[in-house]
Amino acid sequence: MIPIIKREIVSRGWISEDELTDYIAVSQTAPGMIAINIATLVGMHLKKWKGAAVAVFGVVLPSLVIITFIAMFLRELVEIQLVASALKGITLVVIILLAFAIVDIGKKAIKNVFLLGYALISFAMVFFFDIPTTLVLLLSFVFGTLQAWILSRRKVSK
Amino acid sequence: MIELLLVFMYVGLFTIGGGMVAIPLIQQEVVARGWLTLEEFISMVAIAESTPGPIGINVATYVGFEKFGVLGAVIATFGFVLPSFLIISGLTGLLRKYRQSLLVSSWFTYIKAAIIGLIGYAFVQVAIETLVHDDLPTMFNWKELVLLGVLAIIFYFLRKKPILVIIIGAILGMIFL
Repeated sequence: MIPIIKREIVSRGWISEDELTDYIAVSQTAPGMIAINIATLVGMHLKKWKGAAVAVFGVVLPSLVIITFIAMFLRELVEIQLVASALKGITLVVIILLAFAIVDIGKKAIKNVFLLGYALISFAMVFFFDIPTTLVLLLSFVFGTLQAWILSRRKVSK
Repeated sequence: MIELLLVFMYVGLFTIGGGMVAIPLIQQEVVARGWLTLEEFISMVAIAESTPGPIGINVATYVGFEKFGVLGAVIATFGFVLPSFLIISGLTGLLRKYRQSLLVSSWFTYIKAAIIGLIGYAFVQVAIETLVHDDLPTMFNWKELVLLGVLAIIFYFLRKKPILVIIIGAILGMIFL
């Protein structure tokens, strides 16, 4: 998706390539999906609040229309054997997509054994003990704050 | 309906990065609430993957529609988008300033590690629900396993074109499953 955004937006001269690179970096670390974040930033850049609202609306609209349309007829469609078989095939691809997502994101996110352990514990909490993801994520804030506190104290004592 | 809005605001807030992250969050919220069965959720993800548009938004729209029709679709999508929109448009300056700060980067370090665990959860759940059949004497359907292997190899070589792999998956599914 990022290449498409680059092509469409930079070639129109809306923003420079450097600005876009900066926006992508901010989008990746901010809460929310990258696509929405970039749209908001580019919209803000061009026309302030109105631009951001319009840009986000633009990102959302096609999905909203297409999916609503599909959802209306899905119940009937799934009754058709061929459609059900195709969906099964796609589900297999979804399994593969999830597996590769774990590896790809993992390469960047898991920097040491401790974090690997933390990822495994998060998995266990949700999978074996049905603990809400909310709690797991809150725990991450607690650990993050703790780590920052320890690191900053260490710096001071040196 | 307010519950729907809040659930998707929560998911939108914590979906850091691509849409894959949204899947385990939506899955747990939606299946535990009984809004969809795991099986329905999985076919929904399959559809969301094979239609244009960011996957997180597609899934939100679908769940909303299943619950409350068109209005539900709009509300779920609105909720999903709202947190990023507000944070990004209101706090870009702050984000730029504190992105490198020790506290914020430590938060993200742990959140990202936790997210790996959560995607792992989605992976295992989807794999079990799809591949393990209690009604078969052998538990597994060998055709599915072979197809999974073949698709994994295809995906490895066509990583840059996931849509193509999805189309291949759909065609192979129609032929063999």
